[in-house]
Amino acid sequence: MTDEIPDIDLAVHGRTEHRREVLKKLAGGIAGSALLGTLPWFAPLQAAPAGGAPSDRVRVGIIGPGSRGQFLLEHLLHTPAVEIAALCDVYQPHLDDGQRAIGKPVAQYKDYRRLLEDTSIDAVVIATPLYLHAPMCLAAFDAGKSVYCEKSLALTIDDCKAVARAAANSTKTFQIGHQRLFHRSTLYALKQVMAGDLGPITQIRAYWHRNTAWRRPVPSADLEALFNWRLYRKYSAGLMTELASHHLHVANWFLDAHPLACVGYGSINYWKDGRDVFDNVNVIYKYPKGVSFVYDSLSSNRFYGLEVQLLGPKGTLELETAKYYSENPPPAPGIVQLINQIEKGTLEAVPIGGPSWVPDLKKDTKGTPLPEDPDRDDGTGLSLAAFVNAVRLGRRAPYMIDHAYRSGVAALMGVMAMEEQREVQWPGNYSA
Amino acid sequence: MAWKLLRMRKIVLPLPDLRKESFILLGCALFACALNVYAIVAFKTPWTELVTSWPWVLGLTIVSYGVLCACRIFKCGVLYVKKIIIRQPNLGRKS
Ligand SMILES: NC(=O)c1ccc[n+]([C@@H]2O[C@H](COP(=O)([O-])OP(=O)(O)OC[C@H]3O[C@@H](n4cnc5c(N)ncnc54)[C@H](O)[C@@H]3O)[C@@H](O)[C@H]2O)c1
Repeated sequence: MTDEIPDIDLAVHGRTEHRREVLKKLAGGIAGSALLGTLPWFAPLQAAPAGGAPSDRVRVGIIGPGSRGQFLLEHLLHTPAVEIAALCDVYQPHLDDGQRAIGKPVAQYKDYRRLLEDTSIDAVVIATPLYLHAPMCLAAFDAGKSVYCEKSLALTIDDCKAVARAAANSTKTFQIGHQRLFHRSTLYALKQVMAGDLGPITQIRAYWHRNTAWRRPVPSADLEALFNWRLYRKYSAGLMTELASHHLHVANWFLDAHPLACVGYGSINYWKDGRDVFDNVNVIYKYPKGVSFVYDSLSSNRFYGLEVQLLGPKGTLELETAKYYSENPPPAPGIVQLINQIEKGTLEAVPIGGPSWVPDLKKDTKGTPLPEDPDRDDGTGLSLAAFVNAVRLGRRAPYMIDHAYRSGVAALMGVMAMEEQREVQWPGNYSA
Repeated sequence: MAWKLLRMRKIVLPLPDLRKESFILLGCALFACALNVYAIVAFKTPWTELVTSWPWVLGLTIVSYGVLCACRIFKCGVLYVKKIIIRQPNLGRKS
């Protein structure tokens, strides 16, 4: 690396020793840079690596070792200074999976409150369905634990406020599972925005299209809600909290603002299978300075996949494919232009009358790739390493509360706009 | 043995032929360079492309040499067929 963005090498399968080295290098790499000055969540990684003393160990309990919980668990097993001390899940096979991954017996709980009573546990990682985030976070703060909570923050705006307030009042560390904060190419994109490569951001567009029912096979009917909680409004807010919250988080972060208001439409137009969350959502958010964030998500077509696009008068950034497109790219070398012209002249049909207008079709430029993490870590590994270091050093992370609150609330504003068919205003800060 | 028969023969190019091929290749390189100069002038791109576009010039050289070779092989083929037709013995039959 030649600039100040650190080499992030924290893939699940990396060796622990290697990862320690990387963290050490990282600490040196980020000190004193202008960009990293705006990324306080990197600060815990600047600390000296943990030694062998028991006081340097961080004992972690994982609540909800399901799909995401398992992924976090595997990262934690490779994170320096972590000792996984307990697992909690209401579903025994997931406890067994977690136990197998750890490889040695740890305490197992079915009730998260029992896990929280264990005073030897420093921190909990919460990867349960959305409706459980708020009660679990609040109980964890009450029990004096540090909390890493998966996105989105909570199921209701009141719950978002309550969790954010509790996190702000707690002396412990709180972190939200928005891994893009630590994602290498996203950091490069931020650097380009700060350097003015787009000009001012005038619009952000994002979409997340899938062609899937989002339904998991259920071993028995009584497990439907436990397995398919995403499809029921009682437990989840659907596409907005599960998918859009990631892109809303990026919008809030890059615009350094929360949305002022939003409008939207959603419906169940394809998967009429008993679910009561929308299978397609379309929301427009209004940000300060007249900037809009336009979002849509589909469950019945995957042609366009997912993308978040930052648009400005000088260029475009596409974060999911990690590319920058200049509005006025430098021309190709003369000889290439000549070859293209010859090719066009010989292979393409010559139009008889010239068109009176040229359609503004999508530009066909290749774009400049943003550097990716060599091990393709999406930021999760580094995110957990930063959390664990913050816990070890007894540091709070107030900026994380804002990231969590803004994206969690913005996602729920979109849901309210669609469900209540009205413009929804920003509901104020959590301290209000 | 069969594998011996299948072994490729070493082709030795006599010096005059080698010189001829080198001249042809040089001509192709000059042609590619000239095209690059023309493109720089026509598309008003920087003169540094005389150096930076060398992979394209090299590519064009090889392609044009290849095209020339193909034409020459074709020409030889035509001449060979012509020779065979002309050498056909007159069997003295009346048509
Ligand atoms: N950051 C990301 O990219 C990302 C990706 C996927 C999921 N997530 C988030 O992670 C969370 C979990 O998602 P998932 O896909 O792993 O869901 P999941 O259903 O696979 O896992 C949830 C786990 O919680 C357990 N659980 C349910 N109720 C419980 C209770 N009362 N006490 C203890 N455990 C309980 C379930 O048995 C299951 O093991 C969600 O909030 C989701 O939005 C984040």
